[in-house]
Amino acid sequence: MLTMIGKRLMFAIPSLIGVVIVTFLLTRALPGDPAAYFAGPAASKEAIEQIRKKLGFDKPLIEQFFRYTNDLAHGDFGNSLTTGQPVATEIRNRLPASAELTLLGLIVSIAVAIPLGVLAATRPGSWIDHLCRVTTTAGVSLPVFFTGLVLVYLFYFRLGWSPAPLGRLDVFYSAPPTVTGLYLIDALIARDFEVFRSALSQLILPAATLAIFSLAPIARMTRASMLAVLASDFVRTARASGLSPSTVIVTYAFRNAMLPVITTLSMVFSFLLGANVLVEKVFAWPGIGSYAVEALISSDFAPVQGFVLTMAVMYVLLNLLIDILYGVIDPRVRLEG
Amino acid sequence: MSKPLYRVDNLVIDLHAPAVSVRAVDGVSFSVRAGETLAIVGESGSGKTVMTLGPLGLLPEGVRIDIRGEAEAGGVSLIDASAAELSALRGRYFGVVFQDPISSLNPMLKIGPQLASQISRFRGLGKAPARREAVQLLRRTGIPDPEDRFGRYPHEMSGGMLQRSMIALALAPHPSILIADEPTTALDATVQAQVLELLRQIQSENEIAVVLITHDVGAVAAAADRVLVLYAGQIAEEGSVVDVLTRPAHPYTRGLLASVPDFRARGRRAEVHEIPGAPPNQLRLEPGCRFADRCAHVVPDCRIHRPPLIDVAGSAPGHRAACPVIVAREGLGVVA
Amino acid sequence: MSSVAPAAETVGPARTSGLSAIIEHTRYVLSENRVTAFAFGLLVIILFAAIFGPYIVPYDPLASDTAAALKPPSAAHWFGTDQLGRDIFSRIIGGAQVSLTAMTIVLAAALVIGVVLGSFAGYIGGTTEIVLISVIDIILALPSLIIALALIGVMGAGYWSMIIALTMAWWANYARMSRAVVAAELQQPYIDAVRIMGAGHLWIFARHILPHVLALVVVYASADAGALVLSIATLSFLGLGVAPPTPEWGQMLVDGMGYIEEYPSLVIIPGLALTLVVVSFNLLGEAFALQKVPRPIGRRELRRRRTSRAKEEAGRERIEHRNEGAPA
Repeated sequence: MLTMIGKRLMFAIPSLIGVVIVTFLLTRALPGDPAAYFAGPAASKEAIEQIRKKLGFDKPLIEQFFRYTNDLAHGDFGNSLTTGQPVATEIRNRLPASAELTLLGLIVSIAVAIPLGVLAATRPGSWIDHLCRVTTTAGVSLPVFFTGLVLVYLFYFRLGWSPAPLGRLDVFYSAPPTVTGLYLIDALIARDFEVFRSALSQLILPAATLAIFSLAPIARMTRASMLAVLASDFVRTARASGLSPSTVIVTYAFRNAMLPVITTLSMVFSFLLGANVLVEKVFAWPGIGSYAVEALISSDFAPVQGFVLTMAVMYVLLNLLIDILYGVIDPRVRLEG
Repeated sequence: MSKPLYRVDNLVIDLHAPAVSVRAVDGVSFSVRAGETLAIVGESGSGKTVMTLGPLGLLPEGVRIDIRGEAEAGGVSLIDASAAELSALRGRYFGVVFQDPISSLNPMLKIGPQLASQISRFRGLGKAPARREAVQLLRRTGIPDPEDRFGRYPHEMSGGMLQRSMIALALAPHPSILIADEPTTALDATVQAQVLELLRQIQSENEIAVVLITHDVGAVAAAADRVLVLYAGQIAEEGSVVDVLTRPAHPYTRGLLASVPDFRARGRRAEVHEIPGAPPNQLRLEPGCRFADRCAHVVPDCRIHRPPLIDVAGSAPGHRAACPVIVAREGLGVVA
Repeated sequence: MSSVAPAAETVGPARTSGLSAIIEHTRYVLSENRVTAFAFGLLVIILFAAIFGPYIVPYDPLASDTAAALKPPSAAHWFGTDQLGRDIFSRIIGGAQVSLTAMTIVLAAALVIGVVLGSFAGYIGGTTEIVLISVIDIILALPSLIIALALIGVMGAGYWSMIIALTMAWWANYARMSRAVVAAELQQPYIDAVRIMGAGHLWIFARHILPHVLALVVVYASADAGALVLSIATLSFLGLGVAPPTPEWGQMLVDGMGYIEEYPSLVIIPGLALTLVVVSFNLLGEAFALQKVPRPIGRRELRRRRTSRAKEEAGRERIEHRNEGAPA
C-alpha cells in the first residue's frame, strides 16, 4: 500500500511543478509590461521603473524564475497594491473562512446526495427516483449566484429566519480565539455557544447554496453507479447466496458503488472552487474568493496570482488525497506494485 | 420414483424491458430429483436461463417479469413466495454457479471470509469452526493450498480456481440443488473438463440434484443424466442423455448434433452441417411450431397447431419429442 | 450473462458515428419523450429571440427612462422596468442575443483550436503529442473559472477578455477528445489500407478521421453549451465580463442585487431566464449522452404491453385450436 501512495505522490509532483511554471509564465511571458501590471494602472513612469528594479523584471527570464520559486519557498507572494499587505498573510487569514464554508457545504451535500442516489437506484420509477432526477437537473442548471440570492430573498427578506448576509458573524460578536480558523470548531473549543450559534446561522444559507450546487453531480453519479452495481454479476451471486435484500444493498452494492463517486468528488471540488467565489460575493463572505475578485476589479495583480497559485495547489493536493483514498479502498489498486 | 426437488409446470415468463417485450419461456415443464443431473440445452435466447433462474428471482434488474404457471421447490410455491421467502430459499435450498467467475465475485472481498460467513449464516457455526469448514470446502473443490487462497482477492486467482471457489460458495450452505449456468463457457478446455468432473463427484458424494445449463453438447454428454432441448422458449425434445444424443427425434436436436464436428470420422474431413435460417424473432407470439421456418420436414399443419410432446418408442420412458411429423414418418410413435 | 436477451431487433440508431448518425440520433432522441422535445422547443424559441429579437423588441434595451424606473409588469412593459427605467423584457431578449453570440464565438473558437491542435498531436505522435498532452493535463487540472480569472487578471476585464479567457479555458477538453479519437482511429486497419492505396495525410485525415472526431466533439459541445452560458453569466456577475449598459443576464442580476428587497423581479426574471436556457441545454445534452442510464419501463407502458401480449395469446389460441374437433 505504501508503494501505491508513494507512486501517487510522485505523480503529483510534476503537476505541482507545472502549476508553478504556469503561474510564473502568466505574468512574465505574456504581452505587455509585467512591471506595469504590478505597479497598477495609476502608476507613473518612475513608479513602474522602481517596481521593475524592485521585482527584478530587468533580469533575464531564468534568473526571474529562480527568484520567483525562491520567493514562493519563503512564502512570499508579493504585496497587494490596494492594502499594501503581503498577499501571503492575507490569504492565510482568509483561507479558513473559505475552507469552513466549502467543507460545510460539501458535508451537507454528501449527506443528502448519497442517500438520495441510493434510494433512487433501489426504488426505480418511484417518487424518489423522480425527485432525484429533478433535483439533479435543477442543481446543475441553477446558477449558483441565483440560488444564493433567492435563498437570501426568501429566508432573510421575506421570512426573516436568517440573519443578514453580512459575513461570518453578527456584528455584536467577536471571533473566538483562533485554533483552526474555523469559527464553528473554535467556538466549541472555547465553549462559547453564543458565538457558535451566530457563526452557524451565518453559515447556513451560503453553505446551503453550495450544497444545492454540488449535490447534483454526486447524486447523479451515486444513482448511476448504484444501478450499475446492482445489475452486476457479483450482486447476482450475492442474491443467489441467499443474502437478504438489505444486506445485498448495504454490504455489497454500496461499497462497490462508492468508488466512482469518489472519483466524481474531484470534479465536484473543481466546481466548488469556482462556485466559492460567487457565493462569497453574494453573502459578503471574507474568504479568498472575494479577495481575488476585489483585486481583479482594481487591477491589483499580485493577489490574483497568489489566489490562482493557492487554488491550483489545493486542487492538486485534493486530487492526490482522493486518488490515495480510492487506492486504499479498492484492493485491486491497493495491491499493485 | 423419489419426489422431485425442483418442479416446474407449464411455466410462462414474459420479460418487459424499456425497448422490447419478449416471451422468453412459453409453456415449459420439467423436474429434477436428488442424485440426477439434468442438462438444459439451447442456443442464446432460447430461454434456458430465464426458465431455470426466473422462478428463483435471479433475473437482472431493470426488467419487469410476469410469471405464470407452477414452480415448486422444498414444498414452497416459488411463484407465490414473497421476496424474503425466496431469498431464504435461495441460500438454503438452491446453490447457483454462474458463467463468468471473475465478474461474479465481489472484487473488494476476500474469498475465504465470504465462504466462512455463508457457512456461519446457514449452518450456524461459530467463527473459528466456520473458517475451518471454509478451508476444507476449498480443498474439497480442488483448490491447492487452500489456507493461502483463503485470504486472496478474486483478481489474484485464475479462472479455473475462481470457478471452483464459486462452486464452493454455492455448496457452503449444503443446498439440495446446484444450478450451474454455463459454468465452463468462460474457461479453458482442460479446465472445463476438470470442473465438470468436479460437479459429477460432488453430486455422487452429496446426493444433490444438479441442473446444468449449457449450449455445449459435449458437456451434456460428459456430465448429465437427462437432457432437455429448448428452442424459442419451448421444449423441443427431452429424455435421457443416451436416448436424446444417440436417437434424436426432433429436427432441431438432429441439427444441433449434426453441427458438432466429429473429429474422429476417419478418412474424410469432419463435416459440419449448420442449421439454415436465423434464430426466431421472439417479439411476437406465433402459432404452431417455432422451428417451422428452418425445418426441412415442415408441413402446413406445423404452422397452425403447436406440436405436443410425443413419447418416442424404443427409448427409456421419458424420451419425448415435439415433432409429430418425424414421429409419424419414421414410425417412432408409441403404439397405444 | 448468457441467454436472457433474445436476438431481437435493436431499437435506436443503427450507425454510431458520422454526420448522418448525428441526425439520426437527434431524430430518435427527440421522438423519445416529451421533456426532451420541450427542451428542444425552448431552445428554438431562445435561438429565435436571439437572432431576431433586436429587430422586434418593443423598446431599445439600452434606452433608459428614469421617470419610469422600477415599474411592475404592465401592458406597456411586460416584465416591468429596472432601476434606470429600461424595459426588462427587451433587456432579457437583448441578453439572449448577447449570451448566445458570446457562447457561439467561444464554442466555435474552442472547437477549432481544440480539434486542430488535438488532431495534429494525435496524428503526429511522438514528442509533440506528449508535450501537448502534458499541457492539456495541466489546463484540465485547474477549474475553468480559475483559469478564466487568471487570464482576465492579466488582460483586464471586458467583453473580449472574457471571450479570450473562456476560449483558453475551454479548448483543452476538445483537444483531449480529438487526440484520443485520432490516436484510436489511426490504429484501425483500414487506415493502412487507404495509405497503401496512395492517399496523402491530409486526405486521410479529412475524409476518414475527421468525421469521427467531429461526431464525438459536436455532441459533447452541445451538452457543454449550457455550462458555457453559465460561465459567461458568472463572469458578468462578477463584473468581469459584459459591462453595462449592454444587457446580459448575469450582469442584470448583479445590478438588481441592491434592489432585491423591494423589487425582487429584477433578480428573479434574469435568473429564471438563465436557468431555463441552461436547463434546456442540459436536458438536450443528457438526451444525447452516449451513456444514458435507462429507466425501467413505466406502469402505463407495462399495462399496454401486457394487454397487447394477452391479445396476441388469445389470437394464437384461436388459430391453434381452430380445427380441433378430433383430438390431436
